[in-house]
Amino acid sequence: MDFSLSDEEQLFQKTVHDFLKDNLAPIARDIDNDHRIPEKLLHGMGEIGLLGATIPEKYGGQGGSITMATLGAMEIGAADPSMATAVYYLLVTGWSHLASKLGTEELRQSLLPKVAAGREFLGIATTEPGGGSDLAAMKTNAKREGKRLILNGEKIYISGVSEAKRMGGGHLTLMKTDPSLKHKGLTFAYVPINSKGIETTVLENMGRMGISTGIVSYRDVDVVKENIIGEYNRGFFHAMAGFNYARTLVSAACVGAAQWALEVGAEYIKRRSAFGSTLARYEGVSFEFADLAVQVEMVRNQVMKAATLLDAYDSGKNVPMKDINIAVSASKLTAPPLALDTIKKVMMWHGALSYTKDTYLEMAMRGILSYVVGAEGALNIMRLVIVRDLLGPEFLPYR
Amino acid sequence: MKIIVLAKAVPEVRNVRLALKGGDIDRSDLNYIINEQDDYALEEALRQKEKNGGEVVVLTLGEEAGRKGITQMVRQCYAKGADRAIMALDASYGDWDDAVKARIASSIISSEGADIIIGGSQSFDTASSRFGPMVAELLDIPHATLITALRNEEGGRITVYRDLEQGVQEIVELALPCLVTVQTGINTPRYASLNKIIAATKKEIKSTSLTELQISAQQIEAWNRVRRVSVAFPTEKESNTLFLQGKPEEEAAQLVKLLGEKGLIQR
Repeated sequence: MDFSLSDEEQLFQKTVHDFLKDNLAPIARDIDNDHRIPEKLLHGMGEIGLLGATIPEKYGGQGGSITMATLGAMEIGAADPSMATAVYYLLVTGWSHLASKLGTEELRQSLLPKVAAGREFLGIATTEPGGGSDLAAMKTNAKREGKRLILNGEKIYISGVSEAKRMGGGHLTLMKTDPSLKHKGLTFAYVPINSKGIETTVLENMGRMGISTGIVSYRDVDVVKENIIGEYNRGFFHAMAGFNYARTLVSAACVGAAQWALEVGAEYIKRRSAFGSTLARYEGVSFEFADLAVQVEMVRNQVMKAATLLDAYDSGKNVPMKDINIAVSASKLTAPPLALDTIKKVMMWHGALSYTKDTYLEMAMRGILSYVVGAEGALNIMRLVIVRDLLGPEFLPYR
Repeated sequence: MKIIVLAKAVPEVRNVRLALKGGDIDRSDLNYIINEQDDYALEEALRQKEKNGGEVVVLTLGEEAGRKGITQMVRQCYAKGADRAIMALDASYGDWDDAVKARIASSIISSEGADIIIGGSQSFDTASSRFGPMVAELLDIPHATLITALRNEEGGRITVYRDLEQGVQEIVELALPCLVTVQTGINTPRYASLNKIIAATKKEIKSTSLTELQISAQQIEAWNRVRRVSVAFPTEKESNTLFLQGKPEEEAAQLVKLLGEKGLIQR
């Protein structure tokens, strides 16, 4: 088993690190204050191939791997620990990866080059007011009418609503197309946010202020057949496959933020003195640091394993889906709480300073909570996936 | 137009704990990056190529022990747009004076041929600015150092701008072939993109050796006339912070007294 990165992965990681150190880290506070990621930054991320990392070159991407995209997510989580840029990145990267695998040729050609260039947004819309994880409660539906679907319903807590409206773009949207078939009667389709019949409302979040979250209402919205992802009525399975990519990138961003917090903490405890000694010489602090460093390393390895399995699966190797599901769920189950715990402990070392806006720590804590409370899959859903795959589906509570 | 970029791989100080070994820095566990000013030189070369066509060749000398890191640096140059690279690594590189390095580089450049040779004006690790001018002298070609702009002229000449002290700008015309060293303000280096990185790792890097260049150990010994005796880190200073205590007016009085005692203010 080789834990080292390839030459190209190392070079990409270094390039991304240098780019973000110069272009993102210095403006992370501005992004939080201004509630907006500058388009110049997104275009730059497009130029170095970060946004279209895994999109094939013929659709304007870079033809890279999920492992590379994962390394990119770690660097972004470290450069902007508010998570706003990470949210933009992982949605655009994770869901464009799925669209490049399962989208129609027309959709790939029309959408992916703009997404890869940072000039259009692509996100996901599955959660509804009646439930997020519980897809049986989904009400948003689409009826077939000739070659198109007519979409009605409402989605909530959808990231990137304002960005898509401003820049262009939209969301891969899950809709009921055959209610009698339950989760086997769902279809996944790209819905441009500026389509006729869509209304949006923006919600006020506590963190990750640089990217909007909102409600999208659909009233008789036309969805052309070219925008259907994969097969009609197979949307549930396609969305779940997409979540495996997106959750890996979420987890990577959290590992990046945890690593960042740990480095900020290390600098502080080596410098700050109390009662005649630096904080790092007190075992109450240094042992806590050691424990966190070990956990960050363990979760990083877990996330890299998930990325490696996804790459193997994408390249046609015989990787059991169960192994992927467990690796991804274990990553999403552990990375966000670890990042939160790391940030909290580093704040405790800093004392009152961390409660001010003189550090990025408070901003990081507000942002990372979004992934702890549920974005891209609730933690208990990750547990359910693991129960289903290890104990068996008969032990699921809803069966 | 053929441009050779002199690019040096220097140790990256981020996250590296420097340690001493013998009379030198312990180089066994270093990460290497492109010398910052050489990155600007590469960018200038790439811009010239984009404007006028031609070829950009990267030339780098270095320690054999640093082969992996130096190879990564060359790949980074490829990913940014360099066409070819020549790498000459040797185990005794760490003991060489700039004169030795310049003789080896000039030997390679003589057989390679170039219209412009371009490098950074200083190396980050040894704070040396001699290498470029030495190469030019050995090749018997004109050179200009510390340039902040480069313009191509008709008839095999270039014009370069040099910022001197107190805002004085000198404009110099050089006949090709020539060598220039650049300052960091000359341009903004590009970042490599992922697809170019992927392509770069598949490109060949030409490696040459002293034997291939027909340079003997005796020649190196004869050229190597400036030697590093030792390297030392600055001794750690004790913290010298003095906390004044008392009411504000008492603290102010103590401060004035202290500054007076140290001769920093006069009453």
